[in-house]
Amino acid sequence: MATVDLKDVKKVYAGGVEAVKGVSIAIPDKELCVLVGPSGCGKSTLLRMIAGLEAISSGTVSIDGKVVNAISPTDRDIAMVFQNYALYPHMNVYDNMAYGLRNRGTPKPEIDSRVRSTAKVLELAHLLERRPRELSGGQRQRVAMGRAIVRNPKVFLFDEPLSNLDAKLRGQMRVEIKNLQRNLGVTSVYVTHDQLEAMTLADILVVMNAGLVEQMGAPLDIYEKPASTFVASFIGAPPMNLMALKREGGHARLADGLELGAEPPAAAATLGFRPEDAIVGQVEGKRGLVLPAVVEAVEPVGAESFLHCAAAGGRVLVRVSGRATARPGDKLDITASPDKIHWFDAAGKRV
Amino acid sequence: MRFHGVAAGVAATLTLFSTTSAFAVTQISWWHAMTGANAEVVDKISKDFNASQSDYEIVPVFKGTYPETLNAGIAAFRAGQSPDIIQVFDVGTGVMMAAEGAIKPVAEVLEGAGLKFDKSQYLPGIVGYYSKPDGTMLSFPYNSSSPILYYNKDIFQKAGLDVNNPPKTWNEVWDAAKKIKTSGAAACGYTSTWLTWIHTENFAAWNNVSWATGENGLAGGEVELKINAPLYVNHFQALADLAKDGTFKYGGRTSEAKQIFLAGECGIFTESSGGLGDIVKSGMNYGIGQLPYDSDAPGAPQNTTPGGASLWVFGGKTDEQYKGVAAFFTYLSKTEVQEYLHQKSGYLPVTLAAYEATKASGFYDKNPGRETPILQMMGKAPTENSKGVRLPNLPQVRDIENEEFEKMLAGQQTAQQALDNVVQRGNAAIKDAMGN
Amino acid sequence: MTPRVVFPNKVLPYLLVAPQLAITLVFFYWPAGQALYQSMLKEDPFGLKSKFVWFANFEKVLADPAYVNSIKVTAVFSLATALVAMSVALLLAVMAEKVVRGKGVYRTLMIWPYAVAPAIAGMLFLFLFNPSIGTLAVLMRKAGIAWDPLLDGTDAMVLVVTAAAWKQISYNFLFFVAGLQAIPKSLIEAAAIDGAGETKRFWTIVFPLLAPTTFFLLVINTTYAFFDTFGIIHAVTGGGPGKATETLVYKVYNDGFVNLILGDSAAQSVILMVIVIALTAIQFRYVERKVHYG
Repeated sequence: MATVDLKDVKKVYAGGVEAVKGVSIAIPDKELCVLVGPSGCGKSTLLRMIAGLEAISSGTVSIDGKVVNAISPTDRDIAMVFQNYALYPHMNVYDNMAYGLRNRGTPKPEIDSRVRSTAKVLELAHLLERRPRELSGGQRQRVAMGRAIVRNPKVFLFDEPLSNLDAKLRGQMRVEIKNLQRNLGVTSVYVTHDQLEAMTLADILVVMNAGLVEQMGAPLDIYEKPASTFVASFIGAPPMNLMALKREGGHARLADGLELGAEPPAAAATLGFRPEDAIVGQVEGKRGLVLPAVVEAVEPVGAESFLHCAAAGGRVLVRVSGRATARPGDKLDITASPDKIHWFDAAGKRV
Repeated sequence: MRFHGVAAGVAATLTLFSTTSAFAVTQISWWHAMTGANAEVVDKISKDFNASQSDYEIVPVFKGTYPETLNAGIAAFRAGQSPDIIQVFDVGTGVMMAAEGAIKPVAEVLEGAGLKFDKSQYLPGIVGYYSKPDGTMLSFPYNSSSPILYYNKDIFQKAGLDVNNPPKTWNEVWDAAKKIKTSGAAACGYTSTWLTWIHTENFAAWNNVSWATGENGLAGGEVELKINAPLYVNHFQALADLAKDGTFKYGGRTSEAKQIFLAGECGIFTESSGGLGDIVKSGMNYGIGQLPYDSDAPGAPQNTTPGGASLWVFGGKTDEQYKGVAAFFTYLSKTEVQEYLHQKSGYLPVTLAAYEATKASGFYDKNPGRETPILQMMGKAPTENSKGVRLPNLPQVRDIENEEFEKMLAGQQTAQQALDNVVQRGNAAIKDAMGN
Repeated sequence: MTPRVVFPNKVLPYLLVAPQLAITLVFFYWPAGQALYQSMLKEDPFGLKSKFVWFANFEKVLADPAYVNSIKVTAVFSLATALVAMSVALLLAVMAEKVVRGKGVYRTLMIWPYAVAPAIAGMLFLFLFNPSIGTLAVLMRKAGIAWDPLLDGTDAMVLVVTAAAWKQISYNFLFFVAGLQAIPKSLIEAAAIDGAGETKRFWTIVFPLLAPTTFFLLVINTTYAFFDTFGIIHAVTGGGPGKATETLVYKVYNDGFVNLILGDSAAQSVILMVIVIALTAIQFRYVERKVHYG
């Protein structure tokens, strides 16, 4: 098994566009690293550079301690699961899975045993003779997984593998992928734009924005201590409420002049609190933020409800568990306790 | 081509309407295959004829190559819209003659118009070719030519050959050709256009040997090819032997070899007298000689036969139209018209008077080569072997000849085998064609 | 099943298809019927005397060694032309995929030969390869290559195949480029990651996925070589030397329009018509169904 090390990796396209502006990530053996970010942030480009499908403009990519910049994808001993699965349409499931092994000259009996045992693990054993077009979306996804697993490579690469599945199947496959990865113990890099997938799958979560790493760490650490307003609004669903601050007479106030119950750090220019940390009504003894607000819309989801409110400092989203009693038009106070408030400076960095 | 097709259609329609309408002028349509300078001659003659009288108007229409023109005529006839006059090349003569119900013999056209047709005024070699066995003239000779020998004087000089004395017999040609090749004066010694027309049909006439039974097909009735006789075999074996080392170079089935000669690749060249224009234009230092004959043939040289084309008159027209056609042919026979045609286009004059007038004008002193084909054709009274050849399917037989010659020249068979095959395949094809 | 469209007016549907029917009748059924009738006649060129002979013309044609030769020539010519035209086009299409700069220009240039009329294409090659005047023929002779398409049947065949294939390469190129573009890039990448080198990727992934295009082109090219190459053969070899390049279509022309044996020529064109119908049937049956992935 292997480690994957990226050192100051950059990608500059022929037209001068910088897609990746210097990324360094160290992925320990057997860990699953998720690259997450909005489209165009460079996460897929970075993955393709690890795979060898894109040339590396500068910096190094090492697999198992060996720099692989000049090594073709054919010889990197990696496996990749594509967003569209990239199954070979003219081959049946068996041949799709056996293709990589055959190319590497694996003896026939070994190919057969490996394909069959992998198929069994993925519950594909009865589908081996089928062509890809005769399979459902979930089955195709499994074949794509099988094709990667059967090779027993040093590294798995996943390029948004679940985005073509419906929500239910996606949740199911997410768990399966996590279990498989853990059981096989193969170092993996997983690209997604879905923060839920990112949070649930990652050992190391890397949030990317505009070609740079915005924050890197354990998922819950990132959730609890987002390094920037970007991370704060990207990780967590629904996103964190963010409100701009202004300074008047040495006191920080919200945009419309409302005073804060707690004095923020000197550098703070934005405050944020998560919808799940907001409380409806005033809470005794907690001198945090108290916002008078008007309910604009109520979204009951079942186990929880979301209140969309117009508050003094801007729009605020509040999560309440169970059925909400508030109605559109109701006036209420929204409270966030001081320990739940995040502060960010003028550049959006955490204070 | 397409434009001409449309033009022809318009012209044909005009002709149809004009005959039924109250126009005073009768239009006579003339489909021809002449291009370049020869097309200008057609237009000039038509214009002059139209200006010379007010009863008839000749409307010349270009219909493409010789075969295309013939096909257009056949198609038009089948559709009931044939032109009045059509120019048909020598090879198509047999086809036209066999179509007795479709054509009206020129002799009848002239006599019907009250004109007397005096055969003795025409060059016998030419008129004989376009007549029925009983002497009735079927078509009017318009453009005639005959094969002659051309040689490159510069190459002759380099090879040490007599520049003013071209080879007269085939053996002399072979020797000169070898000398040209071995001396390095040129890459090849001899080349020729139209092996079929020059080396079988004219070879037969010039050496007075039979080409086929029944006066080479002119007498009508059954015809069998005779061109596997020893004289032919020896001649073609010599060609095949010379082809092996490139002393003789084959250029193609029709007139492609002219390019080889013009490029200065070969020293000696046999080709139609009508090909002179291009050779003059190339600026080459050339000489002209009579077509070589076979020294083993008794009585050779006899006379050569005409190639080129003649004008045929379609049947089923009105008397008025035939009168117009007769008037046009009479105009064409005029000495000054023939003189113009002969001197401008390079084709042979049809009447003796035109020949004499050209001679008297000193034209041949300035252009000695122009008289050679006439002398070749007029030298002796034609025998049964030298009036030309006629088959209902001459194009097909020529194809067969060419195919076998090509196999022979490629070294796949001997001259004897090639000519035997020609006779065997040719006879079968002739029999089939006559069985119609 | 496609839904049935019901017209309230009984006459209208017939009126709507009438123009198409009229065109088909006038330009296909009528001439085809004429050819069929003509093929059973023995007739002189002018149609003055004709005799109904049933299938005698067919018997004669099929028993003629020249016709059998022509079938062989056509088979060799068509297969060689299709093979050369398709493999060169495929090679060029694959190369064109790799071109980074000037891709558009390169592709446009590749399409030009298709706009050249067959007879003109023939003349072009004649000027290049004619043993006496051809530019390339002179070079070949200097290089010591014996080249004489006027007398050597193989050389002549090579020449007409080259000319015919050259003209068809553009067409095939277009289809192969489209075919290649239709193959998802990720498949090629997946194969690369699966350890297949470039050559192996081409033969195991790209080529099988091009199969529908290839089969379609095979039918089109064969049809082209059968029927649309008349102009080239007419201009370059005229069917010679011997009968080395006389294809079935050329023989129809030669027997009908040069030798004026209309019955034989008509019989041959009827046989050709049967061949076209068969080819079309194969195309419909297999191109649409068998070689298809999705």
